[in-house]
Amino acid sequence: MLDLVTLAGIWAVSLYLIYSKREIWIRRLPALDFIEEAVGRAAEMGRPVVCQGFGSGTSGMQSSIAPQIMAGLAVLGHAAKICARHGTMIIASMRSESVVPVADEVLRTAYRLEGKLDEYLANREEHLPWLQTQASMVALILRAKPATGILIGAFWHESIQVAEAFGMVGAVQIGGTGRLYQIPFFAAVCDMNLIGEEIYAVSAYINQTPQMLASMATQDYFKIAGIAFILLGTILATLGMATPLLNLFSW
Amino acid sequence: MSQRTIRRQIPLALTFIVGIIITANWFIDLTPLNDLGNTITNFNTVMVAFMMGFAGVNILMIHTRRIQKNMSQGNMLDVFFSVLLLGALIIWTAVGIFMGRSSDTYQWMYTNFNLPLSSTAYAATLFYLASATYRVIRARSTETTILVVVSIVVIMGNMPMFVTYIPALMTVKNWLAEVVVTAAYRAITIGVGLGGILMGVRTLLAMETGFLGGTED
Amino acid sequence: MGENGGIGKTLMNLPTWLYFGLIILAMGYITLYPLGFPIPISDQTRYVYAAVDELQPGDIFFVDMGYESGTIAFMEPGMVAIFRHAMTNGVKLVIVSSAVESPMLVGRLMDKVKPESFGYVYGTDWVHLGYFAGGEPAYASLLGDINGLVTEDYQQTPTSQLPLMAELGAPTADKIDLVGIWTAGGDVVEGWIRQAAVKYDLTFITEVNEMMVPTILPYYPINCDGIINGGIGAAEYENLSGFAGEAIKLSDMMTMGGLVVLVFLILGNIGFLMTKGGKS
Repeated sequence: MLDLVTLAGIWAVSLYLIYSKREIWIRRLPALDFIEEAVGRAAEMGRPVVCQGFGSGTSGMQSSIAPQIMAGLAVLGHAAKICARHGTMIIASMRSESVVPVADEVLRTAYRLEGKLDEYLANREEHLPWLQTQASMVALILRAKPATGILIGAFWHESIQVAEAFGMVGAVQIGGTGRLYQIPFFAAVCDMNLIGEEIYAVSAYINQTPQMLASMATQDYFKIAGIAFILLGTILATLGMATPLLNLFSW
Repeated sequence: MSQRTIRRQIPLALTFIVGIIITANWFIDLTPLNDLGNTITNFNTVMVAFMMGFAGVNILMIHTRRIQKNMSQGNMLDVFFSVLLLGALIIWTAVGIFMGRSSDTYQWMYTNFNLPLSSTAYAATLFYLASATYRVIRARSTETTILVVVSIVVIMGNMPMFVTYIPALMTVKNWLAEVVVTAAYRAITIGVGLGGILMGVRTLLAMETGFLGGTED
Repeated sequence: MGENGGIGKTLMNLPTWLYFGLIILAMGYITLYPLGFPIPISDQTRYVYAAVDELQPGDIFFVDMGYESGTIAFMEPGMVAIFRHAMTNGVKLVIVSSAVESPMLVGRLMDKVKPESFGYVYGTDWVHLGYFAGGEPAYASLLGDINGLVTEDYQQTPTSQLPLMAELGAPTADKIDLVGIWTAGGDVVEGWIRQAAVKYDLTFITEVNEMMVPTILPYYPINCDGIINGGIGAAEYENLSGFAGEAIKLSDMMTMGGLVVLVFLILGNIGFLMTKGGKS
């Protein structure tokens, strides 16, 4: 029951803070600022932008990595709008069949908002290839020779293969994932990075509505609470008095 | 019904209702609620299975068109690849349906085709890792110099040949992994967890619309 | 740019074919002519060994064989060694799979383990229940009441005809003595840790690939009692348990592959520093 109370508490505090209409400032995320520049580079070079890595096989919109896929799709929508505006080809390749219809909707909306829906529908197969394996993802990069690679979402061991393939064709790369053991690969190989939970800030950062910004700040308040518990736990454990705190969190 | 209602309001309302039921089902032990939650989960399973079937049909359509196009342009190699793909798709599906996944034929095909191909694709990671290590890890600044030194220690610490003669390498590697890396990963894990919860709250409140193509207004 | 700059530039831009070729040559040579480098044993492997070694005859070892064919090279040797070790102690095995492909790999795994050589009978001493969908909620269900979730094994034999399944009542977790997870997906291990180690305080071991180990370390050794660190960990276990197999042979290969990567990493950096010197 305590887990439900905790979750409900987090939600209640979040809702209160989200709707309390305070002025919130959030720091810049250079990786997201860079998308416009990177798409511009692709337009200048006459080469496409490739967005890759949305789920994997059975791990799609129905699994625990769905929030990361949604973050990736938000970036896809943002990049697709800029591409449509510049007339740059954007290719979004999926690894999970459950994400294909959602990505289709994202691209459709982006092109419709720029008044270029017909352009998207005429080239839909090229915009949205469904690629199952990392080998075919790499092959796509080597064939398309994109100027920009965007890798935001959930990734498995294909992360280094895909990122390095982008490097081989001279593409600039924007990487970001919440999957822990892929973060070092992106940190090493990509030009711009979103680390861990930064990928969840994408929508708030792009839209900048007061409620969205407040939800970002709320996340930080909970982090501060987490740090306080860590410090408290460390002190109590050092004093040999951590049992009550441990029991509190042992549900 | 307006386009906006179909494209926005109904999906967002469904997201809210289904999200609340599934979340409540996870925490509250109440038979009608649990039954409803399980029904929705089963819906999801059926939809995913349907999507797999749909994806198969889609591949069939795309590659049939591609074969026609490439035949007329004389790209026979591309025609060959598309025929190979469609042949494999049809044979695997037929064997799976008519003989069963646990049949010897299916097992033989899996062991002799899928297994070596998957293993090769996974093993190729080594080459990309090697390429990335050589190309990227350079002592450009103080931080990257530390990265280079740590990389060398960890690679050596993972190699029995070095650890046998320099046991301290394993100690240093383990210390780095268990103290430095673990501390950072714990922090990122907490952040990712909280970020996921807040993403859920925003999705249920219809604030997070990235999955519907972003804000239209 | 001086002479140093010229050499430095060459070292920084060695052709891809050269180091890819050297990796293949080095690993190919060592496969044909193994050098038999010694294998020191890490604490993480020792803890896994201890957890398996402490099991008594009739104890139940619950296994999620959650790896797919791509990672078979290092997952299978670790599993063979641990299964053979468990079977010498008369431990019963319940195998499930959280990955779609895994059930098809059980046959070749058991051909190597050879349960019949330990007097094991299918259905009584070990069972293979096949793939289960549903992720973490399904892990919870399996540990809650396995017979409620699984009604037939991989060969479609009703579980009511398998004596070992009758031993697993509800809550199933109370009958399990050790949980072992083999997977290349980090979220799978974390899900099992939450459901098995945190909720039921079960002894928990896992084998994951090397790059995933740091993600499991936050749970080690409190929730996760031992970790087999990919192929190297499997070689250590083979060495420790005396069941020498493929991992020991692989260990030489991994050493040589790592050596080539290391040499190129150092050469690239020497080249970089020389070029910088040339510029200055």
